[in-house]
Amino acid sequence: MIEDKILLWKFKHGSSDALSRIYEKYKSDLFSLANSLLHDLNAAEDVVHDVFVSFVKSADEFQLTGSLKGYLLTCVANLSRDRIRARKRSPIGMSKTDMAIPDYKIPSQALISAEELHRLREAIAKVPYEQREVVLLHLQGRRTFRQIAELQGIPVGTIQSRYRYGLKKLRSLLNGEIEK
Amino acid sequence: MKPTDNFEKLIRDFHVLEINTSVEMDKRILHDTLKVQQELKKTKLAGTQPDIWRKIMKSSITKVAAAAIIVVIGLGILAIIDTGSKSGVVWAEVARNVEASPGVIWRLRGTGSRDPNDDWPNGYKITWRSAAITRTDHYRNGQIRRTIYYNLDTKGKILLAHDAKKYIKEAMSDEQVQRAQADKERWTDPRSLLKLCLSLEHHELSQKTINGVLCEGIEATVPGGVTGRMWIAVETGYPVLVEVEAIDDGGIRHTSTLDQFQWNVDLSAEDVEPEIPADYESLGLEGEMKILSEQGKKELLTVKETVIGTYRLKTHEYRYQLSDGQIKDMGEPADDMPVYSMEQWKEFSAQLEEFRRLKKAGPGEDLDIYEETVEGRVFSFKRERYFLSDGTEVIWSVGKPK
Repeated sequence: MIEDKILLWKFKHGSSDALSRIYEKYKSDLFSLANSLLHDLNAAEDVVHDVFVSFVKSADEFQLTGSLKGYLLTCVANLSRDRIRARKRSPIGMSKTDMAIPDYKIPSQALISAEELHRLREAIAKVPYEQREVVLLHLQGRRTFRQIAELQGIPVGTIQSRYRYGLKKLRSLLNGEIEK
Repeated sequence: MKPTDNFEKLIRDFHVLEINTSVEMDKRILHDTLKVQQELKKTKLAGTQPDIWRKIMKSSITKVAAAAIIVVIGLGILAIIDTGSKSGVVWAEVARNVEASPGVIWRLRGTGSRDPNDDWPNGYKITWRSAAITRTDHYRNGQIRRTIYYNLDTKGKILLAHDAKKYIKEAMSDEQVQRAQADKERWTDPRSLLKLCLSLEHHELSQKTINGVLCEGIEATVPGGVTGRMWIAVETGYPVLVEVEAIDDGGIRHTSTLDQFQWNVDLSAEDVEPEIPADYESLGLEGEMKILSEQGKKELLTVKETVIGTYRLKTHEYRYQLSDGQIKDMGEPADDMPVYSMEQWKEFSAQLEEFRRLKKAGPGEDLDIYEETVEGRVFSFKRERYFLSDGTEVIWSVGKPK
């Protein structure tokens, strides 16, 4: 948090080192969230790219309320939602990611086989977007329900319901139950 | 229980969905964002600012204020250059001392961080740093958990996960070297912090005795809410204690403390490089094998090639002898493996899956046996043919040294 405040101050004063450091610090979190939401590595890269370009363009007016990581994750979630809407809410398949399953972090690989990971990702892709977004923002992005509610401008109760339904859906998909 | 039964924990605590960005992606995004940043800087300098400046400077109030600022800045510069008039510490000398110190050791600890991955508030880090070497030991609840060591001269990196008894020993890429260099400019480095404090508006603090050492300090504030206090020993002219604090929007106070400094120490690689305990396990190709691979210290055991239609998968299986006596075999893509797009991989992987099932069910049609020289050695290859359900021909070959 202290580092982020110092980095932001340097960034606002035009420091390219500070910008690079912010990118290095949060790139994996942002890219991972975008990829989990969109299930498309190219689209995820585009989202992270556009978030950082906007971040740079807004440097002068930028006022941080909350954590920098939270702000950037929110930007990724918002932009991902826009991309999904642009696709006219068509169901998201696994078409672009399978073999391109990229450089998963080593400790994770030891905990879950490639097949299990594939099943998990496939199941997540089948969860309705609103529920998936809440599940991923809460579990992967570590946002509280209140923060997600503020981000989406909807009541906390709705977010909690979406989370519960999302988990239920995921569990049923992973247990091989018939989709309703 | 299947691992995915516990998917909430896997996603939240074990980050199974986390992926690393590629070097190419990093380059693309950083190139574009840094370019935008540069362009914005140029635009400001060339266009907007002078207009605004002219408008602002037309105001008589602004003129008075500007004059006052000039005086304040002048006093500030004097404060940096000649603080000896008020105290025993000359800050310009402190900056020179710190810069000239060949090596420094310090402890970093803090409170208030809510990042569950952080070692704070129960942990601390001890860092040894010279121009070429950095070693950081991470402690939690009095136990050492991680050791991270970089040597920029040899471009070598060692990571020890003491809690897991695992290690990585590998060569550093150019990007990693750059990152390690950039680490020295971070706020957690006392030299960088001193520079930052002196570059900001700051004021002197009254004298204070810290652990029996008479000290003088300055306090500087980063606009946005970070305050730093740096205490210097009057006798030696080196920093003794640095405190940094900030309050976040949730009202939580975050503090960081750098202390237990040892300045002006010679840190040789022999003294600082961590020893890898004999019972620690290497983390595969990511570690020592990568170094051995780059040095060509590996034995080619098998060459396998699968050709499905227009796609080709070729792998080399190597044997590595690790420094701890372990022997590890590892399959790697051959250098002449074609590069495929994600869409192509998707199609190819489905075909490979079917082929693997076919192969498991029984051998294919024997085609021939032939010899080929691979990496300077003669290999004897056996070829088999299979057909996928859609009629696609698969040629599978495996070669062993003669």
